[in-house]
This record gives sequence, C-alpha cells and structure tokens, in this order.
Amino acid sequence: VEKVIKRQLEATAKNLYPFAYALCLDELMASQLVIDGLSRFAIEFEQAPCDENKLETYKSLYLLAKHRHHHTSIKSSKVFSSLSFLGRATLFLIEKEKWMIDDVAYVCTEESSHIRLAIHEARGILSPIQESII
Amino acid sequence: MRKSTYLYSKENRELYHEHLKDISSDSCHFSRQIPLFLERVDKNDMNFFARHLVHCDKCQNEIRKEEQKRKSFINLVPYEKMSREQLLSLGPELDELAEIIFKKEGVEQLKLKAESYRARRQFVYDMFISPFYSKTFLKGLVLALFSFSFLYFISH
Repeated sequence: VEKVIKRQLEATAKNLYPFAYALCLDELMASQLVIDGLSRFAIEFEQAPCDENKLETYKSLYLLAKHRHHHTSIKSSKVFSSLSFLGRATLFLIEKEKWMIDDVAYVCTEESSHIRLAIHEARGILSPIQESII
Repeated sequence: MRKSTYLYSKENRELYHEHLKDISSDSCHFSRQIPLFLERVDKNDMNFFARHLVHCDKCQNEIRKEEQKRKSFINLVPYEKMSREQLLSLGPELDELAEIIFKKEGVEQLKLKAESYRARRQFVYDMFISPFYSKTFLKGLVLALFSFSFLYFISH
C-alpha cells in the first residue's frame, strides 16, 4: 500500500509542478511549493491525492502560494511575471490546462465573475506584447 | 465605470450614424459576442450565435483572428515540466509523506481487509457447517448431481 501511495504522490507532484512554477516562476520554490502543498493536503484530508480530489490538491497548493506571494518577490525577465498573482493562476489553468471557469473559481476561492475579469485583464496586459512578437 | 450613451436621442444623432457606419463597414454587430462564445465549453448554449456564425463572413473572420490571438497566448504562458533529477531530490520528502498517509490510510485498509475476511469466513460457515444452511445446500448439491447424471445417461 505504501508503494502505491508513493507512486500516487509522485504522479501528483509531476502534475502540480507546472502550476507551481507558473505561480512563483522559480524552479526551487516551485518544487518546495509542491511538497508543502501535498503535505498540507495530506494533513487536511488524511488521504493520498488522486484524480477524484484533484481540485482540492490544486487548491491547497494555490492557497500556500498565495500566502508566500506576499513575502517573496519574483525576479524574472519573463513577460508572464508582469501579471498579477490571480492573473497568472487563471491564465495558466485556462490556457494550458483547459479548465472550466467554475473549477478555476473553486481552486482560487473567488467568484466566477472575478475569474473572468482576471483573465480579461491578463490578456489585456499580454496582448500588446504578443502583437509586437507577431 | 464607463457611462453608456443613448444613441437614439436627437443630441446623439451624429454619434448614432458614426456607430452605424462602424458596424456596417468593419465588423458585424454580433461580433462582440465572440470572446464570450469562445469561452463557453458547451457551444450549444449560444444557439443563435452559433447559427449566425455559419452565415456571417465578418464574424467568421473575427473568430479566426481571436483564435489565432489565443493560440499565441499559449506560448507566453510557461509550462515547465518536472525533471527526473528534481523528482529524485524530492524522494525522501515524498517517502515521509507516504508514510504519514499510510499510517492513516493503511489502518483503514487493514480494517476493510479484516472485515472482508470475516465476511468470507461467515459465508463458508453458513454454507457448510451451520446445520440449517449446510443441509439445504447439500440437499441441493445432491439433487443437482443426480439430475445432471440422469440427463447425461439419457442423452448418451
């Protein structure tokens, strides 16, 4: 059973890592965030993460990252770093993971209308840069 | 907040005509709904707009432009995969975490196993050892064997 749990944890860590990286844009911080997010989930729900509780795992990671975001500053030259924290999270989940807005709202603990607004703002910030690239 | 203006009043007549020109020359009146349409997963929710799209060339061009824009957004969003080395470096921490979960989940699993074992043992006891069930079961078995052998001899 322990091996199965470890395999589940590894798979979840792999899935969570891109999201964690999008939130903090640093490899070391992202891997630490994944571990802490998984620990928080395990303590809170007393079970191994799987597809059924996918949203909960993402939520615990997001909330941790949100707490840390206030204490850390992102030093990245990437255009994506100019977006707000919520903008980065929503844009990643919608553009890359192809999630529905309601699921994103649940993970980010915001209302759907706020999520729509955050996406719109994020796209607005990125669109002049994107046009210059084209 | 942007204030809305009433285009049908006399004072805004010029603005109204300008707006009409804009609509007739550049884009379709309904093209402003394209971002909303693309956001929907179930496109049938906007049945009217979906039907309108089939006939309107302006909207089709707009939708193509919007889709291209969105595709190029994807390149700006980073998607960093976890390398094997990173996963290996997390190994000890994942082991610890697995142990914690196992202690909580493992106990539950052991309880379930014990319950299923008890249920199986009870079933065997009921069928073969308990006086009422075993008699019924054995009688049924003997009857089935008898009828099977009888049918076998008749057919051959």
